Amino acid sequence: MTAHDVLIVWRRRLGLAAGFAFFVGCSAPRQPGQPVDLAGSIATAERRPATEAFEPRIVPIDGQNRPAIAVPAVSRISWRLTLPDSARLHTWIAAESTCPSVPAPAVDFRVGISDERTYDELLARTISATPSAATWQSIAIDLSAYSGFHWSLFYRPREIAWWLVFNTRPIGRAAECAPRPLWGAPAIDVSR
Amino acid sequence: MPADDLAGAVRPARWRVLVVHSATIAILLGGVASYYDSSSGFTALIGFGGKQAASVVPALRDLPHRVTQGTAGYDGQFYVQMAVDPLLEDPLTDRAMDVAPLRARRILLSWTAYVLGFGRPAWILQVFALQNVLAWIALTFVLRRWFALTTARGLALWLATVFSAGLLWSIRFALLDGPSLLLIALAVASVESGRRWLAAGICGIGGLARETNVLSLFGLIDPAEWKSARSIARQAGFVVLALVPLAIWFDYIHSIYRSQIFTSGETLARPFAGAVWRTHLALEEFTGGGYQRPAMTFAMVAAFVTQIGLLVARPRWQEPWWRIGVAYAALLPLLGQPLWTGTPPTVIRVELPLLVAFNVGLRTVERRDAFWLLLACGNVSLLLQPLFR
Repeated sequence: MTAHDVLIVWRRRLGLAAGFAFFVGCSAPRQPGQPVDLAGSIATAERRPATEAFEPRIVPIDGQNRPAIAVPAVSRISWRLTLPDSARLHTWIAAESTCPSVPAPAVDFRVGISDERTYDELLARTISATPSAATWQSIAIDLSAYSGFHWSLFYRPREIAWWLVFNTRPIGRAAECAPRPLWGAPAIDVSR
Repeated sequence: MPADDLAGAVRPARWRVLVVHSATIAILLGGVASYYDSSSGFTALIGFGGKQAASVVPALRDLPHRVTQGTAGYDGQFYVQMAVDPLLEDPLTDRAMDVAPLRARRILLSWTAYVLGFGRPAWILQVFALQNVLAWIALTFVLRRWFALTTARGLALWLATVFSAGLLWSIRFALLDGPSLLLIALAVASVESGRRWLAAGICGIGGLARETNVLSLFGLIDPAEWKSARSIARQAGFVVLALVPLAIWFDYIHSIYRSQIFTSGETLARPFAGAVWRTHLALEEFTGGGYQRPAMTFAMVAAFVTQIGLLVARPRWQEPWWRIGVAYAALLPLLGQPLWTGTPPTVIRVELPLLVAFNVGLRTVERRDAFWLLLACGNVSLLLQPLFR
């Protein structure tokens, strides 16, 4: 066998090894899409401030009753979870005034996702807490960038335990009466 | 002329070249030596700023290194911190950066410092500070391929290139541009020697130093060779090979920073926005009685206009340097305001390949007066050189 033949053989072997490594790297066992009821798992989520109440209840706003998590004006809820393939976050947001006779400030709602290193903001929206303007706003966020299979040698979102973070804070002038932000029926389902 | 006489004439010329080249390197090393300090070595060349001191990674925090108090420092301080964590596995590395995804894209010199420093933080610091000096010395040899030191013109072009403000600034603050230019020059030399695959590999490595280095691909792609499907496929192969390292690295950092990997920090902007801003600022300063900074701005703009003007006026599609020069000329208007701030501004470093392409192109200018005038105008940024204090 000449040196040239040896070179060809090794080149083929290297090509096969690279192909195999790529195949192994890119293929991961498929995971069935399992919707996640975030409202139902509020007890296991990290809640801040820890001393305040995060109460699940049915909230009627603008004639619509929805199961919701009522949170303190300044709050953070963090769920740690792996996401099903083609994940999609659905929720409704609203803010109710705790003392309707007094003007309440608006509330800033934010949703983000983190792997403990990089935080991506997914939503930033401001809602008025004025009773006359109160309404449920539907939120749908595509989480497919953080779930399922991706053509990548290194990025394996199926294997990552994400922190899904919901933040609220009142904005504007300090009010005598803090608003009550509401996260309506937050859940992760699977887009088909 | 008899062979012995010819050899006799060549020998003194070789000695002159040797003396000139050695003297040039000695001058540079003399400038670099002035930054040496017995306690912190050459770390004054990295540009650590006092305002960033609190976020320096633990591996370097306690090592002796020169910090300029009251300043934010310079970009080299970020790349050297990546060098002690070459796979960016530690979140503290992110906190040490100004824009972590932007810095992460430019990993090559962090890797070379890690390897040459055998992974020891104290050695990595010194190696990182001096990488540019080594690259500069290597570049002085590679550039002799295009600039013959035996002629006054060649010598002038060579000196103007090796002492250009962009290169010296890269050495002064341990930046990426000097080594990047070396890789581009090596790629062009490989193309001209017919070793295109090697050139593609060098372009690929160069892309890891700074993403704009992939523009050196244009040195590989020769439209004159698009004569058959086979030759087109071959050139496509060059492109793929040159892009694969960067693509793999981008895939890796995407797994860390996800969509943020394309964060540019406004380094790219709408066409001419940065240049117009800088010129407008210079006019305001000039009308306000300022002289030095406006003069530098006008000199820089004049240099770029001259460089691009020559490339456009004398198209030489068959020459890799010309094609690379045109690619960098096209990039220039897109460079945003942050790259036009400072004195000298970052653009003169980013556009170093344009300067070399211009100087290589100047060799074709036969009229003596035109040559020297263009040389002066196109290299006027020499006046901005910062190395010697």
